[in-house]
Amino acid sequence: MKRRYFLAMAGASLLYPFRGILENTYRSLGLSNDQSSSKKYILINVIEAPARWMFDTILKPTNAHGFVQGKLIPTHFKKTGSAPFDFEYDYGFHEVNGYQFPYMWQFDIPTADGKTTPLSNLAENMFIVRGCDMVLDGHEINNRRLEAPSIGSHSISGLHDANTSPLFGCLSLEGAREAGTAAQAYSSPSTNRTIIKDSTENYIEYLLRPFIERASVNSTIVDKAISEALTSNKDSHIGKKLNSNEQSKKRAANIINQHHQVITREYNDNVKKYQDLINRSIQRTNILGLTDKRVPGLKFPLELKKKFHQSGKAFEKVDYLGAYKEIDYLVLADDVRTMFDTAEIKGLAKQMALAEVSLKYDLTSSININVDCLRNMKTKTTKLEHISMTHEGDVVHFKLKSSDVVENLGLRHNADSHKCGSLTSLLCDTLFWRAMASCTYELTRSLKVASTELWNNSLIHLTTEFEREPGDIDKGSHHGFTGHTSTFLSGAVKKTEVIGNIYTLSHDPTDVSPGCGTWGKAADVKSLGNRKMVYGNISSSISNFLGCETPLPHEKKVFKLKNGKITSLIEAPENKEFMEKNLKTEKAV
Amino acid sequence: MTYAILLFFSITDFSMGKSLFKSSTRTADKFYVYRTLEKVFGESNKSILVKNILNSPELFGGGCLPYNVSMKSEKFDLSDENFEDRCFNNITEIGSPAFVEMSVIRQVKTENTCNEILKDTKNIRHALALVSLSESSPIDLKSVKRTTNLFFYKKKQRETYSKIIVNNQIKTWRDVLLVLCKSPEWQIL
Amino acid sequence: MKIKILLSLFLICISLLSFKSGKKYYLLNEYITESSQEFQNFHRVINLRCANCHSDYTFYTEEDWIEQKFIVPGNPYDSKLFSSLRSSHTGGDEDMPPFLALSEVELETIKKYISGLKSKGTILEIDISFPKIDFPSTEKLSETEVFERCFIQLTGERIAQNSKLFREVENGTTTPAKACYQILKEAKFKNRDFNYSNESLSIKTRDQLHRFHTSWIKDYAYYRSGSTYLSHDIFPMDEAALHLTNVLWNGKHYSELLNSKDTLRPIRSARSKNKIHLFFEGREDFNKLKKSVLGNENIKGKTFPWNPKWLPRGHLVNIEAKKSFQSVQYYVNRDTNVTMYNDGLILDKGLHGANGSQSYILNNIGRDPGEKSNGGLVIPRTWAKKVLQDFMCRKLPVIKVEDALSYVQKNSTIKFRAKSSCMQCHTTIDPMSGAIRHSQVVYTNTTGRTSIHVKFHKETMRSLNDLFPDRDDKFYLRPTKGRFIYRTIMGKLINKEFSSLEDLNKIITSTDDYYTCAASKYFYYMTGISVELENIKQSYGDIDDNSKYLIGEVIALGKKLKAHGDVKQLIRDIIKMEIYKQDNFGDL
Repeated sequence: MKRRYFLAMAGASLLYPFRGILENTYRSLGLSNDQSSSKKYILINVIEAPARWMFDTILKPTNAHGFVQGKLIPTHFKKTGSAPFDFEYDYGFHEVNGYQFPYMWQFDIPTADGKTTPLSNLAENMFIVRGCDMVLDGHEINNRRLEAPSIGSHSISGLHDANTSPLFGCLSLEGAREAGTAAQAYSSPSTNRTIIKDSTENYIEYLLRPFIERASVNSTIVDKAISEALTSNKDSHIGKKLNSNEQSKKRAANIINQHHQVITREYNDNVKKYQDLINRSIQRTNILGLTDKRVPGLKFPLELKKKFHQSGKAFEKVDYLGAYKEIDYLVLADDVRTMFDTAEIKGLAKQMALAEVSLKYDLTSSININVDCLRNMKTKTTKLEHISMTHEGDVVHFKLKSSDVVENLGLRHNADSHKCGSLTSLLCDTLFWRAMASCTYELTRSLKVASTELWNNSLIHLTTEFEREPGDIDKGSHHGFTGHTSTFLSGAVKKTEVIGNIYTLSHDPTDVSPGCGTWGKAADVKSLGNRKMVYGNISSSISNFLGCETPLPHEKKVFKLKNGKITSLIEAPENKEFMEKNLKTEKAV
Repeated sequence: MTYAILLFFSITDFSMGKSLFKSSTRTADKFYVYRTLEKVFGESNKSILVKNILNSPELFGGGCLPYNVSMKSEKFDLSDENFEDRCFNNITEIGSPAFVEMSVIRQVKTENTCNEILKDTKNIRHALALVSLSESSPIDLKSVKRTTNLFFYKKKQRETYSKIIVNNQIKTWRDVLLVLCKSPEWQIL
Repeated sequence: MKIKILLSLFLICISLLSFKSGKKYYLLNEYITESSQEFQNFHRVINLRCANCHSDYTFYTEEDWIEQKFIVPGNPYDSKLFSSLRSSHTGGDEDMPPFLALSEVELETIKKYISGLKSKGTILEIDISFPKIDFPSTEKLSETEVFERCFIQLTGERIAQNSKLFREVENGTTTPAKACYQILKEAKFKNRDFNYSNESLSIKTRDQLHRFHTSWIKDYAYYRSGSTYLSHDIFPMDEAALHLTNVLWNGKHYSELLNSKDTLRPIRSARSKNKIHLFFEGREDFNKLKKSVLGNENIKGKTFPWNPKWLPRGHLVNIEAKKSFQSVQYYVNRDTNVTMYNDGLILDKGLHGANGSQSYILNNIGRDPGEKSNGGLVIPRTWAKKVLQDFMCRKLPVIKVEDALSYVQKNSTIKFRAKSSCMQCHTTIDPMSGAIRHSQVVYTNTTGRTSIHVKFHKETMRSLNDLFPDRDDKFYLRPTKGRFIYRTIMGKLINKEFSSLEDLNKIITSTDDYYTCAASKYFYYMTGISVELENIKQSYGDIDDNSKYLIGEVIALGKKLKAHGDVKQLIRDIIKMEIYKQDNFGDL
């Protein structure tokens, strides 16, 4: 061995004991890859699992993929006539960045400047994971698992907060629904979430008030004395924590006191901005094939041809009239579109407004938003029990039992549309997602404008508990918990991408309506060992992006962050043929 | 030789071994904070304390015992029997941790509570009366030591705060009580 | 040359100095040497076929292979190195090397080498000792300070300094541990003998510790919160915590937590009448709750009126064995695709112990309503995992991968049963879940605002000997047998069959770990220090001295608890500890 080489090796080896110091220097010079402290995670969970097949469940990624159109899986009206039931559905596609997105993506969405932009612009930084089997049924359990996929263990946001020590622990924006939400599953080894209830008038004021109130009291001498006392105990680990809290408190107080007027003003403006976007997305829209023509509601008396189920059993009242149902009510509006003139999504504007300022001013590392569905849709309505049904040969007659059973009510669309018809659901869910798209687009735009680094380090996770399976007849859809979609938006997503496998057509007898069409049911993924993707795969991927521990270390990632870019770790999406061996024997844990 | 050096790297380790424990700050829970402040400053501050302390188990720790509570209506009422045991956010709060770390927000909330309570001189008088003092009592080491006893059970802390208060020439009993109330240390066991 | 020698000596010295302290291990018989032909041949194969990816293997001595647990001397089938090789037919992962399997000759070389080690009689033993820590006297609290601290923790308020007990501690008549123990004794249910406290303080003490118990069994995420609207008012949601509280205040041995045959009935005393369900979301929902029904509202004529009895409200004054139960004739399996039953359902009776209570099973079963266990994919394995977490303080896996090898089912259609890494967890939780295989979650009605319960199916089928069936549709009707496969903290393997939950609980409560877990929980409550329990026999050499000290302390506390069974004495023992008396709990 040459002496020079040997001495070089020996010299290098002598540095080994000092590697700890070297690592710290490396980190302090910003050369370290450890950037989890700057990562932001925003979980937008639309509770009650509305259908997504018209929005971001990509049922046919390309024309080469198999697709069977389901009669109760529409994206728009092929035709609408002037009478009730005189309509035909269709499922349409629109190409976006090489993928076949659903029909609505060809249209524009409102923007904050009062104009519009193509919805397809939202897809630029969109990474869609479809075909995830949630295994267990149920809203609450799946809501919780979105945040904490392993029962009893720490949650994604909780682990992220433990890594980042934010000023405010995960902002839990509960929304109208305070029970069984993702936010409630928050669990962290070291931080607590910050709960902001829907009943709170002004979210930012609630958040900042303690600091503002504190600042309003002139207590220099008191604070000085407390600081002095804490400094005298600075050597113990508790003393260190308290002193560190003092520093953080002063820093936060300075930032907030300097900027709280700006932050508050911006928040208040944002609320108006997002409310305007929501209103324009839902109210008085003129979307071709959906709301460009009058959509007649039910009108009595009504005559329909007698129908039977496949089993031979005669249709009941609800089976005939189901398309116009909103739970217990039937929509009798002369034009169903008018329902949306008063529709609202409660709390969403405040939630998005707070999310925007919190991220821009680095008030938190994670946000959990629970989004409610459309409410206050004022319309003429009656209950099913007020309709009489009589048979006369092949004709079935429906009429109101009396004249005073018609009411003008503000209906709430039940996103968990077991008892909502396809017509009401198509309109409500499409307009709802349009509003979500518009708000999300604005949030992403604001983050981009605020800072490229912030946008690149943020991960917006737009999701629901699961997709929906249409029913066999038109009186409601059901939990498609064997098919879940998670949509991610981030500056780290450099191009539109869709991953995950689904069945073109499932014949699993344990499905609600086997053979009902392509709806998004999870199929095996070769890269995962020929088994279905489960939520643990998604949560491991999220944790990888955030640079924190994953709640389910044994579940492989399906995407990862590499050199600042989110890359898929599984094969390109497939629509698979359902085989006998794929029978859902039961569910795996 | 290179192999020997590499072998050295692989088999020796300057680390001290992995840790199988975690030390959290053993803080007192919301019930202790609530009861202490109520005792020191008087029952008339109940609504302030409920609003700032009891209502925030995520900040102060301590779950709820909903079966203790007898509710008259679905709207929360201070006169409900054992109202302090109510689950303030939702029913799953019953599983909340018994104690949580001392966070910045907790400290800020405590400070604001103290500020709000001590705006009212009645509360100052109430506190001082517990240690046989009044607003006109001189703020000297002996008197201050008695007031520290309202918050601190550790002698070292009582002495530290007494000395600091006197050395800083704090002139009013309000400020003395503010120093003690606002300090996070009395909430740490 | 001199420089080389000096440098080598320097490196050797540094190596020796950095060698981890407290780690003693020895070979019972003679050292294996690397000069043997078998090792040379073995090493050649490793170098050629593994070292490209696993470069460190090149430098492994025989001792390293054994110490790193890659080789079990004399047993290639239990050796992770061999079982991960393709075509080894051991039931292991068999996925190495990733692209091209070893030849038969190469496989045989490795197998022969490992088998040959037995004849050299190598056994590795690790000597475990728990160091003590000398805490500085300057950080020690006075007796009254220690007493104030424990009093606050147990009652949630400060003691009056003119009280009798405080003065006794102050003047040295009693110690802080004894004084707090006195408070605990006087807080027990139905106590009338108050020397140092009173009824009001006792209530506060019981409430304080019940809140700790509810935070210990911390998962109350019912499957569907909507269906718990009535559940919480029919049977207590904190049943498992009630068992803990019962053991504490009714003077039961700690083993009774799981061994109790009774469903518990909380006795409460409210002065005012409660008018509100425990769980409500709004006025609209509450009004709907006023009229309760049973059955299937989707079918006309299939709902029946129902007036369930609500649980009492008020402070907990006692806990008793429940003697009478509520039952209904009709119930449904779920709220969609409904099957209605009319064979009767008891609403509020548990099985056995805290982990067999209605609410513990519901909170932790991890299965959908209506599902029946089939031995394969559908079994309550989440419940088993939570039992290990809540009552043994152990996270999966709790056995070594070698322990799981013989349970790997290479031909199973259930993918995780075919992999040894997955079976390291499933070998424990799958057979353990057999204890509640007969549980099925059901509703009282389909309205979505209903109550949810566990139905326990009667045993009507004979037992099958298959521990891991792929699918057995009658699994839930067979005897509630299973097996408890678990390695203790001290590394001992337990592999015992049980015939019921009662049996399983007896096995659990006979272990030291069960008591060590309780000790660690109360230790955490009193000091804020959480000690992670794992197989320390395996990891002893890797853990730091402070951890060893703390583990030693909780093990010692656990041993005492096992002997006397009294949680109050456990708390007293914690207060007596040196670490408890330190200002910042030792500042570890």
